[in-house]
Amino acid sequence: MLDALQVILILLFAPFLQGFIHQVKARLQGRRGASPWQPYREYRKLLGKDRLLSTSASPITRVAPVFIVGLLIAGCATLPALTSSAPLLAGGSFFVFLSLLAFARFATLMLGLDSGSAFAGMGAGRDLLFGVLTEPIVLLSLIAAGLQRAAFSFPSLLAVHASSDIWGKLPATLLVLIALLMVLIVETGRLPIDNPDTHLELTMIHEGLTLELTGRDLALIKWAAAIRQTLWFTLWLDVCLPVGIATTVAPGPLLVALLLWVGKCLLLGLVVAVLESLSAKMRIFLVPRYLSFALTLAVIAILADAAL
Amino acid sequence: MRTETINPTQVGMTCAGYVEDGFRLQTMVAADERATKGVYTLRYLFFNDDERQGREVYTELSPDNPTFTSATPLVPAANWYEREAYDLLGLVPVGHPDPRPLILHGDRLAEVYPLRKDFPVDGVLPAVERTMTELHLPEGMFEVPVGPIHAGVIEPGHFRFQMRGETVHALSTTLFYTHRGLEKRAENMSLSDGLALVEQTCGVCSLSHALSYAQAVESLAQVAVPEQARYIRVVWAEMERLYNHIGDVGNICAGIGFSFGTMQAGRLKEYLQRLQARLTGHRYLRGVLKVGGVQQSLTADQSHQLMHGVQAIMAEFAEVADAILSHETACDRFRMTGVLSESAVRSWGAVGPTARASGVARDARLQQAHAAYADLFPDTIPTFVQGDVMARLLQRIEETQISAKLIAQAISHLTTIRETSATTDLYTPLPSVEPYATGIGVSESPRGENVHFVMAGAHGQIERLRIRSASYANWPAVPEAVPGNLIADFPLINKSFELCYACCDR
Amino acid sequence: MKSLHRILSIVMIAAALSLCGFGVASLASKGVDTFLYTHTVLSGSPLIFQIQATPLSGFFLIMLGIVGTLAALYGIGYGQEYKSRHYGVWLDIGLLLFIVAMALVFCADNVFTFMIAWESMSIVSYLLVVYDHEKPGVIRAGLLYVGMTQLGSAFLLTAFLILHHYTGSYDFAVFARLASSLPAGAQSVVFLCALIGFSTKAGLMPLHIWLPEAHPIAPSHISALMSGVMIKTAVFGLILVSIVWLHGAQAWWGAVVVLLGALSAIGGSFWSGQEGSFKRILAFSSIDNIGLIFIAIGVALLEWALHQPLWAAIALTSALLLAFNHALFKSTLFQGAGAVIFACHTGLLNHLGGLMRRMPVTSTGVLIALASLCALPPWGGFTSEWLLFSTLAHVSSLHLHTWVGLLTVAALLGLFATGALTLVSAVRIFGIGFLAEPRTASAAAAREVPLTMRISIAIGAMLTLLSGLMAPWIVSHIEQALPHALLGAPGLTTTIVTLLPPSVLWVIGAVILVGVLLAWLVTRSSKRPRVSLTQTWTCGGQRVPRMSYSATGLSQPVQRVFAFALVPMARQYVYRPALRVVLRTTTSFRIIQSGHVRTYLLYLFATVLLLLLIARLGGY
Repeated sequence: MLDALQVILILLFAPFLQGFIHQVKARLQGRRGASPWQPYREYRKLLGKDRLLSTSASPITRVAPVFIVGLLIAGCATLPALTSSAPLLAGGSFFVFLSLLAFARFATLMLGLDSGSAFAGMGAGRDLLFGVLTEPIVLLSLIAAGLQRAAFSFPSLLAVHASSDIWGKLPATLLVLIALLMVLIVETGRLPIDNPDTHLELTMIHEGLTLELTGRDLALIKWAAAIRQTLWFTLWLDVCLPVGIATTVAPGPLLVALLLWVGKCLLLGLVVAVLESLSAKMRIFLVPRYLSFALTLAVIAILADAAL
Repeated sequence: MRTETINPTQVGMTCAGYVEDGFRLQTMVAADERATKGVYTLRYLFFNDDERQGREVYTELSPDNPTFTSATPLVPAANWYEREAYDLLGLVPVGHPDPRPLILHGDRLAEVYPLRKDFPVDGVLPAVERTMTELHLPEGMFEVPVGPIHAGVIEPGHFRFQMRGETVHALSTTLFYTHRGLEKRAENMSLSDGLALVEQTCGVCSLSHALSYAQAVESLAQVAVPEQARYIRVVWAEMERLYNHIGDVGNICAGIGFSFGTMQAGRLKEYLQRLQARLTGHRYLRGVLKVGGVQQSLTADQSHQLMHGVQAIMAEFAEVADAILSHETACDRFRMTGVLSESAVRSWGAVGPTARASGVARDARLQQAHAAYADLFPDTIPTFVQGDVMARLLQRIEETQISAKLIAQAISHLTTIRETSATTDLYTPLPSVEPYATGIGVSESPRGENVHFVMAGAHGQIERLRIRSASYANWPAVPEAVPGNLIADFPLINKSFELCYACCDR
Repeated sequence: MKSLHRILSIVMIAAALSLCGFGVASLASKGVDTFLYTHTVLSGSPLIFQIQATPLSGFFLIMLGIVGTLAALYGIGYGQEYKSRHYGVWLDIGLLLFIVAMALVFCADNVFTFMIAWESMSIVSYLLVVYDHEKPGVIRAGLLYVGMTQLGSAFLLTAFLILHHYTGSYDFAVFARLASSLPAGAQSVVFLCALIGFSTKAGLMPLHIWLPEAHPIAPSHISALMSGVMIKTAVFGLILVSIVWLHGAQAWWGAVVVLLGALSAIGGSFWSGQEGSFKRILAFSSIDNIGLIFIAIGVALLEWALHQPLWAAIALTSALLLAFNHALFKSTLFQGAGAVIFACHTGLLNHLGGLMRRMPVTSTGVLIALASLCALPPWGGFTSEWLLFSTLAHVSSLHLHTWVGLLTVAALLGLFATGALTLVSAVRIFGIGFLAEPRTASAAAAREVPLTMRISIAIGAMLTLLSGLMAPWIVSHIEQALPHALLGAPGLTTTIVTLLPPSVLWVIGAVILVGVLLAWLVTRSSKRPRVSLTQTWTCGGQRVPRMSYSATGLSQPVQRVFAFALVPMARQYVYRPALRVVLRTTTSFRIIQSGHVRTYLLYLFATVLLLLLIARLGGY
């Protein structure tokens, strides 16, 4: 029940976080920007529109958007947002969570390639490259965080955090924190990796994959992107800043956890927006260099675990 | 200007000879002069930047056999001009290596030529149904079509990339989607009314087009422009360059999603345009010039406002440019991207900042001094040799400073003129012109040399107008800069040229 | 001829099904070895034909039975591709012999029987590989295959002869009893010889080079058996020698196997993402999966040597689960590739496209099997990688402060790099090969394949999903196949239950479905929106086939980034010189090549006899 509550919370909050980051970016650029509630309005608008499907598309295009959201909902059910003691899908295993995200990635790539649009092909090739680099880094970072206590699921990692001072093993935590933040930027498609606001088809990555979608499908995919972003934010907060996560299911701590979670998400959103406003998009083939830095950090974190 | 009259079969060899002597093809004008001379005519206009002199190669084509020997195999720069003559007038360049339709696309197959005098000005071209040709690409290679309809609000151009992943192997472009038949429309308008039409050629170079046109008409009517007007022309020409260059710096930043640069440069450009609107009544400086001079004077108070505004914006722009140039990711994207070689510039006859960023010191203000540039313009101009996006960016940043300096100098000259000169004429009235006289007007627009050719009719109307904007000269060079680059860099490369579609397509 | 083909196919299905049943029986025998048959060929000599089924061989027999049944079923329709050939029936006979030979490998109980079975398997598969010998490059690939396989056999025989030298017997039962008491040096030599011999068969890097050449050119149901089962004979053999016989005596053995496995996993998955032909992608992916299986075996060896029988048992369980799931999805994928070639007469991805709408059943089957290849939850491939992940993670945590911990972390890194690289292959196969528009006329003309092929692919695809959902149940039976010494590891069952809780996969599947339902409900509009069809957006232009993104283009970014690793080092510096010698030698022996199966069988027996005689005379 509580798990379902967490899921619904993420589902509802995700578009706001998207809108919030947009708003902050607009302010930083000296514009007034749209309200943070804009994404909800946009979904409503899109849901009322007709669907336009490509004649090249197979039935995959029809089912993939709902399927992707479904997978991400399962991802939400695997990740603790408010409390570490609610039952989670597959016990909140790292591996299951990342596999669900990989599945969503696979489905998105299939959806993109189904229409035969060259921009989707470009996006797919780039996304695959990033995936090849980020997936090992994320897992290595997560393992580095829990290696000493054999904590390979989110609840057990949170339990380790709760029982010991997270900053007690400062070097490893700090390294994991940075490595995961760098990956988060890639995975949520933000500058300097991908420009979520671009209209230049040739430079698109995640946008390119969904260029063919209209109406309901587009609403679903936009929602999926927002959920994915919130999931990455929550993951980062669980691993690096678990302050305030309830260890019980009592209403009091849960409420505090809820407020803190929202606050932390917005704070991280603020950081991301500032980083985005300061960045220009880097050359695609420099991203591996950027990520290899994150990989090095994760490896050093593991070594620090082994040494300490 | 010396004119050499030749036989249509000698076109190729003659043009090649001029190019060998250090001339470049400046423009080519094809005209239907069957009514007066009974022939079609071709005028290849050449210019030598070192010796600062022009040449005209003139040939007449009989209406029974409107063919001529193409110069393109020997002079690549003639490529588009000759295809255009084929499209619009049905003059066939024999031996042209790429005789595909340029302006009318597939509709040329209807063999209706709109620039011939017997085609009515409100005539409609028949549309031709066509299919794409089969083309076998090497294994694993594919084509990515982009445009003419883009996701952003930008002008229409169709680009087709041949690639095998991220690296572009070849690029072909199709432009002229915004061909409006401006030159056809100009025919039979009066010479002075033509200015208002020419200003509509494009937005961002309105003043340069007006300037070139006015100078062409002044040259054919042999009118001297009052001194004050010549300096005012410099002021506005440089203002146009200033706001364009600052805006283009922002556009280059947009090519890499660098919102700081885009927004800041956009803001400064907007200030300049508002200043222009306040002083002239038009954001794009339309209605400022007049054939024979200028329409509006520049009062002491206005000069003061202008100087004040420009200084403030230049100070801010220096900071913005500094921030852009010290951004590591941005500079990494700019460097070594979209390199246009000096030889490509020379063979395609590219002009303006594009040419100067590739090491070719070509500037109409210097070599074809017009308005008051002869008094004001320095003897040397800054150039860069790399020819990459960075060079074109730096070129623009450098040139803004020269523009600001020129504005200041022109304004101080204007003050002197106001104090010393007795006459306050803003323009010289246009006398009646000799029938079928021709004139050429050249100005340096923000994108480079802008050439207008005007032939008067029998009663002081326009008989033939040929607008060759800087974009028209530079577009064929763009595909040279792209192969070998990443496809994701194309928007950036394209923005670093920042060519105009409308004044290329006309 | 056609009826003969049918009859043979049905015989084969029956045989394979009975193998399957027999495997179930052996596995269910609660650790009791079933003695089957013995026959002395030449009294007083080691030439005794003796077979026996252990629970371990039972497990592999089930695998062989399932894949063999599907291959035979598939062959009924697939034979039409070869119906113009007058010797089409030989393909059926070859397939039957191939299945029998593999079954014998799993059941062999002494050196003679094992070598006969092993060599028959190699020779029959060689003949099946060169079945399409008139196609360019086939003979060359076949020679490479046979050369490598004989090299492997030589090492295996060496290992057996050393064991014989110390134990005085050719009996596997004796090896199992006495091998662990061999001197350490001899044990290591036996282990290394077995490792080289078996990893040649398995296609482990750097002994893999024959595999991507040979597997793709065989008829597709043969490829399915080769990749699905034949390379697992090596897994079986390595488990037999290093764990059952030698009891994983030394920790460094495990380290070597883990490292080679990781190399193979990363290398295989990387190369599979760069290949242009469907079947070659699958072949490289087999190298990748064999690498993962070897990582698991290596960890088992390592843990046993370090006195952690619990984790050794779990690692071995995950190795067997990996092998099982790989057999299912890889054979289905090879059958899918065969169906594509059947329909389009090409397997090059850049020439395919648009098959999803033309061959819906085959395409859906391939998509489902690809999900297993990519280890997507809740498919079989996912469960086995999940178990491997948990094993590696816990082992690295267990040995955190020693080199073992770092080694397993490196293996984990390999596992994840592999996972992401596999996605590249899968996206290329399906996204380029099956989706969007056809790139060539032959792909545009594709039609669904015969019913039996479709049924076979559909069953295989279902099994890949079912084996995931049923994974905890399967694992509980795999435990029965573990060697006696590991079976009794304390806490085995309870630990595995915590790592892979029963019904967890059903729950994952159900939650995904609930999510899908939720998404559908939330976005369902009250007024039914109109759906209209239109051409894919090409920015206002006309779309032609050459505007389709190519497989080459899709993997170019990855290729460009890892260009430094793209030099085929093994090939360049080790094999090319060696291959030249082999080819030259083989060419000079052309005189004895008659092209008849019986001649080759004669050679085979002669070789084994000769080697055994040498061993006898040499006093081993």
